[in-house]
Amino acid sequence: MKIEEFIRLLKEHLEFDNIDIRPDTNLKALDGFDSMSIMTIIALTDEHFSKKLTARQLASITTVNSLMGLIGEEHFCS
Amino acid sequence: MEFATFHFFLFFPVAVILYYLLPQRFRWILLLLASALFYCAFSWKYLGLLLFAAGFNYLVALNINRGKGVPGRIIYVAGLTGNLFLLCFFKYVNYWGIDFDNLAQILHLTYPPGVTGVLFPLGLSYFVFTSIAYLIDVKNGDIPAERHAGIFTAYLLFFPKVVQGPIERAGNILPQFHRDHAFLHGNIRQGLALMVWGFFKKLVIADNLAPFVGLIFSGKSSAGGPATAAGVLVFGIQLYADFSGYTDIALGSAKVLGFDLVQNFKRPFRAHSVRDFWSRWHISLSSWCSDYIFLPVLATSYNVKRYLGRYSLLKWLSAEKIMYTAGSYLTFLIIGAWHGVGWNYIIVGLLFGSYVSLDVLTYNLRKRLYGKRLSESRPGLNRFLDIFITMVLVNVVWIFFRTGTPAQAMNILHNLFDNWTLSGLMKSIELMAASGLDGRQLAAGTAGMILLLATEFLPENTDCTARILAAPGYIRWSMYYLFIAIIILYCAGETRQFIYLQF
Repeated sequence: MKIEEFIRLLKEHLEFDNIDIRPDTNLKALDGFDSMSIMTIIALTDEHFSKKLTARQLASITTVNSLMGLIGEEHFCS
Repeated sequence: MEFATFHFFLFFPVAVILYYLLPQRFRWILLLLASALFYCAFSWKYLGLLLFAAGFNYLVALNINRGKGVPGRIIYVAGLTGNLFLLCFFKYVNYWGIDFDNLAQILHLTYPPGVTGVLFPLGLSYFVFTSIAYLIDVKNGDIPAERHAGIFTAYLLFFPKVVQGPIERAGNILPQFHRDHAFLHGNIRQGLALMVWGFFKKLVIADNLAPFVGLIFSGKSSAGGPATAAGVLVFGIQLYADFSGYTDIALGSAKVLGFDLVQNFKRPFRAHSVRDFWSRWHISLSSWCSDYIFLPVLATSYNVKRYLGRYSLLKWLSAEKIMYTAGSYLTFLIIGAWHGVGWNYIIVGLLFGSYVSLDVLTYNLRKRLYGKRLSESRPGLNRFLDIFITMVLVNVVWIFFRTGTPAQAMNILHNLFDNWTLSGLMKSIELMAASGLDGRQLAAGTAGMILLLATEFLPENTDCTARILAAPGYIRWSMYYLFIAIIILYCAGETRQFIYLQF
């Protein structure tokens, strides 16, 4: 999956339509990123990548890059 | 010793001066002795217990990853169990004391007299949660086990945070104990400014509002709807001023020593939902519960989804929402139990769990109704409504938090809806006039409350302390003297114990 497409998917699922998100954007610092966002990320990683994230991995999510790293860099291309 | 005492005003400057006179390698000794002295002023009897617990956790952490496989796991489980036993024994033995006595009689067991009448060691809830987080983080490899026993004990007993938090993660603060803290004017100024603000919140706002809140919650006679509503709202502010006041004093005193403790509050009165509220209130506890309870439960969504997927009738259920709900209830019940045992705290947990779960479960429906994203703060009148509704929901929970029993809480709720007429308003005024409340005290508390709420609604990233510290010297010093004068002139005649000291 292209990185731009992943970011578009992320924005759509997390409903950050009006926010400019880039690979180095700190998701945790965004207004509205909370426990429900984590729940959405769980659904997204399972549905699109068949990837299970552990509780520690979920707690460690910061930037979009960090999330892509947890999913697996091999899933993404620029 | 409590912060708002003459002893602390003697203790703290001496501790700071000695701290900076000592070479870095000996400072942990000073901090450990100072923290022990600070705690002894509350209860020297339980200092030994905390020192024992510190030693226990120190040894467990060192050996968790040494024993491969089963031995390491046994040590780990024993460590967690030991900490939980310590907390549960002291927190709940008094509540269940009578039942223990009856059970012991039936089983013909004997134990030393007074066991079931033990008092609760101050700060134990914070101490145990800090220790549990430490052991889990060491087991997971997030941080190495601390090898210096003295520094580890100084970290657990660190006097700014030992009795009332914040719950400090080892990864944040242990490295600071190993760093050389130079004497920096910036740290001293920032720390003292924070402490002054904390004392203002505690002594001028919280303690001056306490008698009015006490009158409303006494339940001796119905205060009428208007006064009860005012009392409930003011309690929320008293609680915030009291607890965040302590936190500011703790953060400030640590800053003077060169330590950065974690922020525990982030303008909770701006919360636009109960989920948002818990990202702003008692942050060290909510983040602890999120990392060690909520997220592990939520992460099981993957397995739950696989299980539901096997049954066609269950496929439509959202595994994530099911586990979100389960995680929310479990988290908030634990938060309630952390505060104490009793049906009122269980109801606190159930209410917050219900608020957060319903928020998520009805999210899509509400989004269809309102047509836009609900999680982020909405502008204008909608924002005001979101904040107002959130505060109403939270204040209903605070009623159960403040009263001793559900029956007393229901009485307050009944009074809340009672007599919202002109006669009810007159009755409220008559009650206030006849109550003997000190008008000057109430006025000072009210003025302070207005100032506090005004700072809450400044732009989100405004750091008032930094703004004052950056101001020209004559403005800065005027503010310092003004606040100190107000504290001296308008502090409540009777200094009350910090509310969260009881937890």
